[in-house]
Amino acid sequence: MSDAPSRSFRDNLVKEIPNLRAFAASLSGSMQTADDLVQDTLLKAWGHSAKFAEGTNLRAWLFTILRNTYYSMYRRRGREVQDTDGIYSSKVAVQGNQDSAIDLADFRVALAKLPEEQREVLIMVGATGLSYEEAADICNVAVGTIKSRVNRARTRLAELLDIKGPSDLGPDRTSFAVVQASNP
Amino acid sequence: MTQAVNDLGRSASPMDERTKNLLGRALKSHYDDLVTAPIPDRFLMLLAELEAKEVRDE
Repeated sequence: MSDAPSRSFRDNLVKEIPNLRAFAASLSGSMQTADDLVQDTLLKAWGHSAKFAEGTNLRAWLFTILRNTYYSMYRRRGREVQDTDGIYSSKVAVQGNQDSAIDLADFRVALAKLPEEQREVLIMVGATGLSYEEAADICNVAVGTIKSRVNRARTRLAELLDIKGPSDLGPDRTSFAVVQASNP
Repeated sequence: MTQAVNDLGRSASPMDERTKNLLGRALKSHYDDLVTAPIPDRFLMLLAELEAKEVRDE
């Protein structure tokens, strides 16, 4: 059949599997659900490979399929098995600036508490390398909506993790904040 | 203090860069840990099956 996926499509699909799993696990909170989601996504991508426009972002295209599959088929099941203990392997601390650090396990518990619509966009733009525009296309919402979801997600995470901003740290931090604010 | 407050009484100033930075690193760490996990064989087997099917169908 002329619609058979090309070798390069297959190779690129394989390269995206780790990102698909990571996104699916972040979304569903379950590694088992994630792997089922990835399998469904690969099957659909293979079957619809002719619809993928060469030269566009394969990751964004695959995330769209995975996300739609999750919301139409897996959501409830994902909720039932939501358990951030035991699904992720490591529990190392994340080194922050100077004295601050967030424990990865604590972070994951907080991440799981975010509404899905906030969690998914935070992952997309904060970790997967997708742009705000690509995230907006994937979620079928305006770019402004993505930005506001990311901001709300950050604010909520800071609350859940009890991270204090410079305003709580006194005037000593003012110069530090100015230096930081000058960065893009 | 220096924080601007909008009509709704919420802080209108963006989150401070230190907090943003800290959250950004934690997010990356969470994701990178998942992305570097070993890939189960089932996915490569699935793609091999799909490829074999294409060849048979030709």
